[in-house]
Amino acid sequence: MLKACDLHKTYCQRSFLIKHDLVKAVDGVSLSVMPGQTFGLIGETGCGKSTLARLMVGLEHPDAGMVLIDESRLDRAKGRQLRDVRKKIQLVFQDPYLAMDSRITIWQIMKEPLDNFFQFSEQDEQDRVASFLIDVGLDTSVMKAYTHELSGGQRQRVALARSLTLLPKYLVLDEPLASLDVSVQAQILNLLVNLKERFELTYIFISHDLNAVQHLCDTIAVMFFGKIVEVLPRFELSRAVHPYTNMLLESLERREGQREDWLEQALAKGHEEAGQNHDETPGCSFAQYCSYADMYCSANIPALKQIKDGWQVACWKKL
Amino acid sequence: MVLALSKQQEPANDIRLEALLSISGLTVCFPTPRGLCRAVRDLDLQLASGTILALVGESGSGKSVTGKAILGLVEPPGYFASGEIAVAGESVLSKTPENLRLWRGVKAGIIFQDPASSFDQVFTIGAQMVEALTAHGVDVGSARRETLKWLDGVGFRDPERIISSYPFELSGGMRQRAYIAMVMSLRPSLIIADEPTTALDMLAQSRLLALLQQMRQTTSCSIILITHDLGLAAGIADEVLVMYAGQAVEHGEARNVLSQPAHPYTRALIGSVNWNNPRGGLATIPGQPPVLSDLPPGCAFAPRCSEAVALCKQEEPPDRLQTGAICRCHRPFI
Amino acid sequence: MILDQMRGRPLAVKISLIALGLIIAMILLAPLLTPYDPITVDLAHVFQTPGTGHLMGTDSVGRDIFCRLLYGGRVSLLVGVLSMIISTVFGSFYGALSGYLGGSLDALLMRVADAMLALPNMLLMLVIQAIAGPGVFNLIVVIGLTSWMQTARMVRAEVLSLKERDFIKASMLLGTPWRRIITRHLLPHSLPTIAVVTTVGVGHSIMSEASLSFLGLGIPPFKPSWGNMLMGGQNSIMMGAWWISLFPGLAIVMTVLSIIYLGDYLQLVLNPRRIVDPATEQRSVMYGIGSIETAGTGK
Repeated sequence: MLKACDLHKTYCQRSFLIKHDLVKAVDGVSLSVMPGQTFGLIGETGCGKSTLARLMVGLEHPDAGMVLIDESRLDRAKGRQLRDVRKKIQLVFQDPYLAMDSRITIWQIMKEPLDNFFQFSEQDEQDRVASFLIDVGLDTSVMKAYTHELSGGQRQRVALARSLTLLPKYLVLDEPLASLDVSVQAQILNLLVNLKERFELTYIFISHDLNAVQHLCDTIAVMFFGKIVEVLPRFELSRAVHPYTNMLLESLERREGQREDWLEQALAKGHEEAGQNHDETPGCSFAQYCSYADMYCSANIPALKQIKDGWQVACWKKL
Repeated sequence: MVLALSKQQEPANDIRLEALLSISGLTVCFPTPRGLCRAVRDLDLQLASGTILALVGESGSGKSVTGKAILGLVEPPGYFASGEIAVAGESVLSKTPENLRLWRGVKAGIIFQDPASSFDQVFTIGAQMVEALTAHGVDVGSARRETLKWLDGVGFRDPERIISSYPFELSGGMRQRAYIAMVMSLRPSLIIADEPTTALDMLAQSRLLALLQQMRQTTSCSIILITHDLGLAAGIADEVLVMYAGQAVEHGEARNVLSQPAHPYTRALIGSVNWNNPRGGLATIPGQPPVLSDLPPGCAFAPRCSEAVALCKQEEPPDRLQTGAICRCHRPFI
Repeated sequence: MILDQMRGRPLAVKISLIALGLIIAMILLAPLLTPYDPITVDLAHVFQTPGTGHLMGTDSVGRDIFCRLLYGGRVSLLVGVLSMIISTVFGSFYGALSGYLGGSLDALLMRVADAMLALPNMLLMLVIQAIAGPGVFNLIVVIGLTSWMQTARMVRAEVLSLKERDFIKASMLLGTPWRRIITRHLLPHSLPTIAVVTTVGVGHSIMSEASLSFLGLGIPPFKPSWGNMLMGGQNSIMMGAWWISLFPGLAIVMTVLSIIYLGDYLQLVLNPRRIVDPATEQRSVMYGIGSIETAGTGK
């Protein structure tokens, strides 16, 4: 089981000489992901979901809290221990082109993790790399190519194949579709479904695309300003409780032109400024954009409360 | 929305007559080490004023090149090989670079994909917007009033604050809206929006589209929305033009094209964003888009097409009218 | 074949390549090009003007300048290139280590480098050279060990920005040990920077060799090198013998300029971004997805 317990991460934003803004990127996030689950994490840019991803794989150190992978602590691991934990969890980056060394061939990219952990013979290595490439739907001839010679979809496939080489149990996918064409996104989504079955993976799928999250994930967590505001099973999404989740759902419907009143809705002033130019309040961070909020909301922080099995909401009003 | 549609149902003949934008036989070439790459091939397009056209295609389909070409922008070593572009009766390609620069902005504006690079980071939003107006002969006082008016028009709660803030102080969506305000303040009759939403979040995306829609209604300008996302096109466009390998493969009213696509490529594109596929997975298009410098003979889509027959791989399909849309295919769905 | 390679390159690069090639060829073929000996004194023919029999004239003790120039080039280039290799290799690893590992080690390593930069270079070289004694090998080591700081600083800065990039983060996640990250990813990506610092450095080390030789601590004056020829000719300029210093000076300028131009160009060629063909924004798709399509295509 992958668990995050009360993670905190604060960044210091330095403006030139003037002020030091503290940005709470991740502010007390706890979540647990069961093996075999597909856990979706959705939120807008700047809500801290990428930071959370980096905390979960150990690329960043939390200021407080801990990350547990199968009972061993990732955030405290060092040296050999860290290497062993790393085999269990991998991260797939948003832009595969930036995530792979542009000066070396796909073959060298693919064999790097194998070299790090195993002593295979050259032939053995080649067979393994080839089989992983075939698993992600690529021809073995790509081994001789450089990343810039591949299309966006092919690159993301290579990136996936690379993170599979260590046979991890958990895969954190940080907006893996954002850099791709819509038609290619579908291919990669299908591939993700396949790989999950084939390699018995557990996904933490991070995205701002509600459609994709809805399609792939069985549990969906909604993040707003460093906090998780709602965790719910996919089939309950249409009955989401938190006003922010509903706002996201509406925006999706509006975008697809499925709502008559979408124009007026979308043009309601200040609607989008939610999450940006945010004034720090002692209470619920969503209160200033919420039509249900009152004084109590902006003074007290709501905690995540279980309302059903696998459904948690952090809201004072809608419970 | 209802208003917009009823507007479109005026007689189709009139639209042809008073076309705001007319492109005929446009071909844009880029020489590459691997041979000549024809990014846009023989494109014809008529666009009435007050219409929103979605230009849809995968990366490398030539949709962005087309968008820039309409403003007379082709980055060297690329060049216009043939064809004619006219905006409001004025030929774009015959203008001198200096004329073109003045003409751009007033008659046609462009909104870029990345809101971060649209503004200069070291000047305030207001300074840049006022400068854009004064450069076209407006005095500073009224330029400032105009700027405030448009910032309010694009839905900022506090235009006075925006006018004195720097680009980096705004979020992506807000920057994009401020940029639209800047483009709109020059009152162009044609706006080209090149993937304006890809860098934005969901809330900002829907807001931006609504804004474009609203701009069209208040100023009756035409908008060409370049996108790879059909869902987006469905939400706002009146007309859809689907591009593949530099060619227009299907062009018609949005409702027709999206509900009854005639071209197999359009059909496949729609399938790949159909999230409620009964078979479980998402439908995908097999294979890769072709390399433009090395196109297959016949229909460029034939190698990936599930409907292709021998004829498709030999002969280029002609344009023809199919269920109310122009479709370039030997075997269209009817 | 060489001509094929040169086609399409900038003019300055072509000229630099030709000049450098010519200089190296002449230096290597010195015995065939000149009948004289670079060391033997010939007091009968002192201060000969360039032309008659002596292409570039003779110096104050009658040695042929052209001949000394050719033989001197061997020493100068050897010192310039070898000392730069030492300084580049040392500096690059030093900088990469400091930048990648960071923290207090970074602070320590950089303070050491700063301290060495703060000391006058010449003083440092003089001290070491005085201890180690004269000789070509010692000279190379001394120059190499006193000129690596600039490389180290540049490489460190490069590494600091590279290590925040996703592909390095990915390597870390895939369990690549830091030694391998430095040698396989960080240093290759710093090559453009290293190339520039190195080429500028070759010029510097040729000059350093000249200065040390002039002070009597580098190459003994009777052995030719461009540096001590240049310095040795200084006094004779007063007497109107301009040619004694002019030709070695020209040789140094030509060599250093050629190397700098080539270094500049090298940076351009080595730039990883250049690998993406700017003309075709659409990426070339040479490697198709194989026959195995993912399920769910409905085929």
